[in-house]
Amino acid sequence: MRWKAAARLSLVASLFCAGLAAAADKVPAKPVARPTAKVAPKPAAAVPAPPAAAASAPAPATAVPEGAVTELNRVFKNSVTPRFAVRADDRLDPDMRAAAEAMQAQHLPRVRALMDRWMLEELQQPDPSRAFKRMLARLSNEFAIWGRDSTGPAQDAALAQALQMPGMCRPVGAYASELVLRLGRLRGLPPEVRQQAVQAERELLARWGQPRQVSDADPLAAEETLLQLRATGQAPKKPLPPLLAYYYLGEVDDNRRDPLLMESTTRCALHHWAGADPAQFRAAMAMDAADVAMLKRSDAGRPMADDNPYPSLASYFGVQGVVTLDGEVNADGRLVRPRIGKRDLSVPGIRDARPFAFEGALDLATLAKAGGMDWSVWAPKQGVKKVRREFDWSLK
Amino acid sequence: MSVKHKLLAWALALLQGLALAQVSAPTASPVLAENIEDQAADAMFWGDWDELERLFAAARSDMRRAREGNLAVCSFGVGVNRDYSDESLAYHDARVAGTLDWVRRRPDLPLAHAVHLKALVALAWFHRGRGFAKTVSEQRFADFRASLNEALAYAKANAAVMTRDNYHVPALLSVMLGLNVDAERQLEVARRNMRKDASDECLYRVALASLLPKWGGDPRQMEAWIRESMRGQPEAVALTRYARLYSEASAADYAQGLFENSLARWPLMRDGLRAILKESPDSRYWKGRLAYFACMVKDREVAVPALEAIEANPEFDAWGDTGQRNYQACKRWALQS
Repeated sequence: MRWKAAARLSLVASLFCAGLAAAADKVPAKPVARPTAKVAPKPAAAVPAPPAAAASAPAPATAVPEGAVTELNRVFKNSVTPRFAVRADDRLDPDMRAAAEAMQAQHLPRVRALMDRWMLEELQQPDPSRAFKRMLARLSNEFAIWGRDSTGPAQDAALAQALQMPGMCRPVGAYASELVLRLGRLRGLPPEVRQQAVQAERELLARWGQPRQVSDADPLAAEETLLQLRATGQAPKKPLPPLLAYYYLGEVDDNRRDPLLMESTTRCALHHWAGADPAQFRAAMAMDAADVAMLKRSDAGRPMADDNPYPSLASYFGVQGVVTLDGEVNADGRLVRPRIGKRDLSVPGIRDARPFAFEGALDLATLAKAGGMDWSVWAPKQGVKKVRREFDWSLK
Repeated sequence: MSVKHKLLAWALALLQGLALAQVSAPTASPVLAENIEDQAADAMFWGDWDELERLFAAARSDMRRAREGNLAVCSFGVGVNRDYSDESLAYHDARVAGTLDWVRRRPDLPLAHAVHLKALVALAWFHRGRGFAKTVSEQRFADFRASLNEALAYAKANAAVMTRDNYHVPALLSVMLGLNVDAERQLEVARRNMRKDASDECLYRVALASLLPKWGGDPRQMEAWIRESMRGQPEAVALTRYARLYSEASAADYAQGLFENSLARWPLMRDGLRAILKESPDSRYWKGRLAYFACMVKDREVAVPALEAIEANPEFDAWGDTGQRNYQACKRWALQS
């Protein structure tokens, strides 16, 4: 039976992205804006666990079923390997290239083994038909944790030093992988500091799959600062890199991009410019589930349809919980400066860690929902009134 | 987005994943001149001043030409000048502010001053645009002149540091051109900054702009300037300079009228182009250029083998505006018996 379940899951895996759409289509879920009490996150698994030691229970699987292996290989090839690729056209000096290639060679087998381990563990959990999705959720979250992790003060100091360098975020290649981008940000450091920082990167990779505490710092609200500059037309106190001015402050609306949807290298430049400290910078740069699935964050986070506000990615992974929105309501009853505050989410498969990879999964949909609400009842007679609302996202 | 679109997006993502997964061995260290234009433009766009300084130092000491014949030090300047602005004043403001910040941190670095001067000049020309004067409003001309005067004042105030290197000269010439300073005075500034090495080629080329008819230039003055660039050089170098500069004059203004309206002479041009091809035998641009000019003067004896040398791989940039049509017309003419 378990093998059959795994075979069914292989279909899900082969339609990883299509599954996002299909799953969301089936779920008539609506968020509810609530003014006060928080709602506890829904339990990760609704199906009770089978008796652990029932006489008739099948023995725990010790090998991943064949059908699932194919799908694990597919995900590994298309979503994992590219994140650690070292391309011929990456502009790395010979030392850094050698280090990157060594890390790639060591780490890829490690991740592939972890995927097997996670798959087996999830097959032992209640509702094994969803084991593959839960494995993907764990994989995605591991990427996010990697982004936030630090080996300690020495690595933080090296990153702080790199953050003082003007071109830290200039990409080392047009298609540079996450690993290469991380190493590339260290290229301007003095040789001995760089060597230590590269070693720290190696150690962070070796920690994959191990429980560990990582910083839960929030990134700076750099996107909001940029939007303020755009709105006021004021010159920034600290000069913006020309590319940020070009893409985000341009005079022609059609040419302006949305800072909230920045891709990785541009986001790096923004948070570097904004003066992020190492923890804030890592929080801003950490990959999320959309990145791992190679979906644009904007596409993954938008409501699926007019009649189904649940975003596709969140629906696929079963992300549920409460997102708190802060903002101001003006005298016209319009919500201004809405921003996401706290998130209290649960994701099936992620049991012993904060679901960092999914914390933004409901942000855009929450903002969209808030934008469509009638706020006039909270409108002050003059000025603005601060508001805080919780949005309960449930797939039930 | 429909399910169909999502599937397509995923399929593309898969393909991208496959492409990204292609990992190959690093290639041999390339000639700096091959990529420095893009690298310098990149560094400017990202505000990576350390990288700009590193690239400039490397370009100053590397005189190897790229496959297309360009020098690293000249291409560096082209890259710094690359303009992404479209209609964005904010982009120019950011370049001016960023380079000024760099100058404040590195007041003794001539390159920082020169790049800031370039940013000021680029802002000025953004106000004006590159069209004919009749297309520019009075207000924009006022902004143009104000920005140029600011740039000129900056150049004067920081001359002591800036003039330790001649990299600032193109920007200074651009200021003088915009302020209608006499062409002879512009050439004097260029002459004073020659270094007696291959990098002078950039200055001869930059100063040529003021001698074009569209800026009121005189063909005799241009001929004199080009001849001056050849003086004292070995014959092959002198010929390549002749061909490079008249080729530039054709590209920038004379176009198909080069041999009718300027003092360019085909035999010298032909020999110069051949000398360039001897130096850069794999250059698609200069192979095309030889055929282009041969067709221009209807020299079938040169045009036919030159077209054959291009084979099936023409570089249409070498063929002037509407290059593809010029190339096809040349081929039809050359193949007539």
